[in-house]
Amino acid sequence: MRKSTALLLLLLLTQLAFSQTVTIRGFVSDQTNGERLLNANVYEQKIQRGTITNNFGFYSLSFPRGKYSIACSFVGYQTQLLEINLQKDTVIDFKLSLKADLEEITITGQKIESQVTSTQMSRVEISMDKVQSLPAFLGEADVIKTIQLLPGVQSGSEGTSGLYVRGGGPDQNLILLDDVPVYNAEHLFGFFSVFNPDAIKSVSFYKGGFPARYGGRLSSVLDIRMKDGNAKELNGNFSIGLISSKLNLEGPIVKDKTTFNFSARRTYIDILSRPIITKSSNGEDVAGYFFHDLNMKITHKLSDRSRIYLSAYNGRDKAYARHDSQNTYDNATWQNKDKFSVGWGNITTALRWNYIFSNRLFANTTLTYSRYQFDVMEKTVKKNLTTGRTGDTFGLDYKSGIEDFGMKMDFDYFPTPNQRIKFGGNVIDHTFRPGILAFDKTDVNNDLGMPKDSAFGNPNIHAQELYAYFEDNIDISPRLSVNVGLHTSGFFVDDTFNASLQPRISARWLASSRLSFKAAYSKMSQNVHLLSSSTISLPTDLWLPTTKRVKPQASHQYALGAVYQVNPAIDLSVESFYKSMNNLLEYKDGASFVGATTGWEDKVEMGRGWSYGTEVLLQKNTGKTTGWIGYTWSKAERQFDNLNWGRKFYARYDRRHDVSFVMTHRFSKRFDVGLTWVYGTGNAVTLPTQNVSAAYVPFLNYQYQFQTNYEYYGQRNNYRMPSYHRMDVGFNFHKQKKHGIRTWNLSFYNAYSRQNPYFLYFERTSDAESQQTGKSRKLQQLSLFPIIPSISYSYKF
Amino acid sequence: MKKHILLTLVLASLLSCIKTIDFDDEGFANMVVVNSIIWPDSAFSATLLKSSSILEDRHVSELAAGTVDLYENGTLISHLGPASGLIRDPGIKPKAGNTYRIVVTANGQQVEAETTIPLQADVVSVDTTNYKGNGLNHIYFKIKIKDAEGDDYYRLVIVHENLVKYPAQNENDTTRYFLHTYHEAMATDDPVFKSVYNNFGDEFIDNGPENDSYIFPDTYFQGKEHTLQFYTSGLYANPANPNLGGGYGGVYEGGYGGLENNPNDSIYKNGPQQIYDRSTIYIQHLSKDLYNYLKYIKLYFHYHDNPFSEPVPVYSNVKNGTGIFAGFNDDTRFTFEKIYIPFSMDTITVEKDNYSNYYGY
Repeated sequence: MRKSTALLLLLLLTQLAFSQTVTIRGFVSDQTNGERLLNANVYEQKIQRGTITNNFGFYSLSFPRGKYSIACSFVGYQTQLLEINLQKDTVIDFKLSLKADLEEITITGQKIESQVTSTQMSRVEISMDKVQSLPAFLGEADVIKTIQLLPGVQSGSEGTSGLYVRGGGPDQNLILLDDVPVYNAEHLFGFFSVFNPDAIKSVSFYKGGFPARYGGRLSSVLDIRMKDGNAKELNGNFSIGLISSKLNLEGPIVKDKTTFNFSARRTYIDILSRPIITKSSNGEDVAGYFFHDLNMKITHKLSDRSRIYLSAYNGRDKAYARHDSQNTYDNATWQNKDKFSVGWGNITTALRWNYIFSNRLFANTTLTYSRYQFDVMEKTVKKNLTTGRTGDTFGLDYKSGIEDFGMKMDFDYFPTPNQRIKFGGNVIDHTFRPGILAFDKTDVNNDLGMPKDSAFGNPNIHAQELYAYFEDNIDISPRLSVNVGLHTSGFFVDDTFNASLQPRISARWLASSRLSFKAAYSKMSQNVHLLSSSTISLPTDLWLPTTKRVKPQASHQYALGAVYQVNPAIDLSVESFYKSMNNLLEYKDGASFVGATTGWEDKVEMGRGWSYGTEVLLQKNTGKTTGWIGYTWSKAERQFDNLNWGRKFYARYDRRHDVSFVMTHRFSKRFDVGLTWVYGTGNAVTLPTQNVSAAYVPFLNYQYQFQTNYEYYGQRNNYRMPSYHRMDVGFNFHKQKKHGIRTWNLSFYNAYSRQNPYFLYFERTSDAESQQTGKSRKLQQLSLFPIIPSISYSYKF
Repeated sequence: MKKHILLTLVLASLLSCIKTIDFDDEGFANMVVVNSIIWPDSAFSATLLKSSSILEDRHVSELAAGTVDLYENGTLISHLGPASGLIRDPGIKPKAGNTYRIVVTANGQQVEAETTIPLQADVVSVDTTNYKGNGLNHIYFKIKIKDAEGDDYYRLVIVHENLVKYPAQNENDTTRYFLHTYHEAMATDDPVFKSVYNNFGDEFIDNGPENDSYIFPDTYFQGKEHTLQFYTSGLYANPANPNLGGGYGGVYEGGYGGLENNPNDSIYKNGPQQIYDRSTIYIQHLSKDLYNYLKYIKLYFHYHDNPFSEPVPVYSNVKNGTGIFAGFNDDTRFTFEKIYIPFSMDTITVEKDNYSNYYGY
């Protein structure tokens, strides 16, 4: 009875407390173009309580009635301070203006945004200004290549856009573009990513301490949001580079109500090389390669409480060849026409609706569509021009990929001044297309036994994935803040249902205003697997679902860290992590991606993995000079019962030391410089180290083939490639023109032309070399890119 | 012109570079290699070798000098050496069910390995059917084996013997008898053989290596009975004309090299005559070590030149060194023979016996 009374009393007091509070809510946006600002700080300075805007720029804060001093800040923008006497619920939209170009950081007593106060750990926000100002490979600024410069992230092979985060694999990254998963984020074997920086507003990258709203991958989340479009006026930019040109246009369709943002990018190596190829083949051949990206977003404000967004992306790579020739024999003229193409690409679409139900409840509903497709087409036609009859024909068509339809709902709820709750759910219908090959053939003279019209391959696999989450960010005291959550997921496929409960918790303890300690734990589960070569990223890589035999991947990650604000502009963070992973996939000994579409489950082994390490990041985000220095010490190991005889081995991208130095310096309004330098321990590769005689076993056929020696490896990934290091430098020359600003960018990738290892192999020595060294073979290193200068021109209006 | 300059710049930048890098081959080499395959009633032998530099083409491995200690169920039963290369102890005959440990001290290193000789395979029944196909005589076998509890590994081996009489061609010549022995191929659709390399035939680009050493695990029939089904290629002579052909490896009934089967042809007169054909089928019970070695060495040879496939390390159970020390039991065997010309081993001398060359060591 006493307990019930006490509980009732507590509820009444809580209700009384709530009734005494008032709420301010609103959006934070860029004053110039109306673009909503994500993760902006809204902070009450006296009682030191605040929040950050959500993915749509919305915030909500509740206080007891009274006078307050509220600051709103965002990196690169002037902090806005508002003195207010709060007596009732109020809508306050903050419109921030950019800092003047050369403004130095000034310490005014106002809170400067810092990682110190955030409960979240292992998250990095990448500003698009930073991406654009860093030196670029072939002049193409790249979001993913900027992320590769962060501690705890490795790039894989030279020049590629793979992400290997805290010892994880390239398939363990959830890449979201406006909430839609992107399954292949790479162009041209990974040398470029699909994200056109002109179209992007914000990039959030999580490598640990995952909030409960994210799930489905083990190692990282890359949350990319496209620009809404300028609500005030039409503007844009275009650029011309060595390999591609880009155009971005944005503006109001109806001022302050409906906006659009459109970006396009296309490479033109094929266009430039076409005259040469055509001329050298007497006009008979045409061949080329290109990729393009199209981004489009339309935003419409239905009311002060409601807004809809339609965003879409279409990107495609295509390599093609055409041949058209004529020849004469048997008194007839024959025409031979061949067409061949290989293409791959993504389409993503998101239709979202925001609605503010109350000052404390914000909702977003999203319909998503995502498709990745790889296709090969070949068509050969022979025609007798004398008689007009068609001769032999051959057609081949191959398609594989994945297609998703999804719906998700997300809610932000601010029940008390100390709590920010997020909850929601998602349903996805997956169609996995492991590959269908179709032949169509006419042979007028012979039948070579090949089917004339047939299709074979694996049937499509349908699967349904759903998840629900709940996370609560609670300020327990001014010093202690926690984010607790639960992500629960289910996956239906092949008459089986895999369910998973994934608890998440992050905590921050503020030791002082400049020092905080953080800790996080995340359990993650992954129901899709990427069947991919360990050596190169190819468009043939296949996403395949969990099956009865191939179980979902799962991980547990623990992280501990501290953030120290050295001065208002510089943060120093140190994080240590330990991650264990189950049901990882590796190819069996001897297996390859070649023809892996059939019987793929028999080509892979499941095993475990561990990674642990410490990351140090010294970061400066404001002032003339910005950038960071990162260092990572880490280990990544694998253990598979049926690989390497059950013994542990290093993961291919295990790197003991990883260093990155990233800096941009603005000398004047007209000139700035970007510089990056990276160093990493060499990748682990499997290389034979000795020759060994085989044992004589009675009656083995191979012994009749005189194969009595074999090469000895010791174990998987037994050899370290030479270390990797590289410096890139970029110079940006800006000039104010009549209608805008033009920029010349001059970049040098691999400025000191380091020959970094891409691939090692043994090669037979020449006779002269053999006489000199006494060896008949030598170890060769293939390096891809020496110094690569590039130049681009852009104009922003 | 500008376009050409741009294109040249792009192409030049995409040119890759190759250089030779230092590799400490000698630092890796000179590892002790111990190879020893043992089975009941065969004299114990081991080969001591050293690994060689990966940068050298050495067809003959360097011998390692050292001593060999052999333990049977933990008891030292043989101490051999110092010696190098092939070391034998004719007095030691491994026994089924016993565990053997070899300790080799050579090249300043001590390496060791252990293996168990399995019990003989348990065969429940053997069923054969003769049939003719493609002009050849075949025997279709159904052999039912009873698998024991636990993981077991098997190998099917058919050894074919062919005793041939080479009549004297003139008065200075003598009649000679040769026994030709070879590993007989077989054909089978039994999934237990295909399961080893997963080559079930639905992969149209790479179907994996052929399981031509006919090894198989008991994965699909653990602790149960399984009927092995296969047929031999049946290179048997025509019993009506045992003197046809060259007498080497049997004679096709349809003729040889396009010639008609006419016994009166000069090519056949006084030619070699087959005395008998004999096939011995061994149901070998392998140790896990030998199964792994056979499985992975085949995978290695199949894939080691394929740049896209994952590297295949050859199995070794030798600690601190490499090589293989493994046993098998081939006491379960069946013999089928056809005698074309009655003979007695008491009256003839087999001049050459290839059998030991293949099955000895």
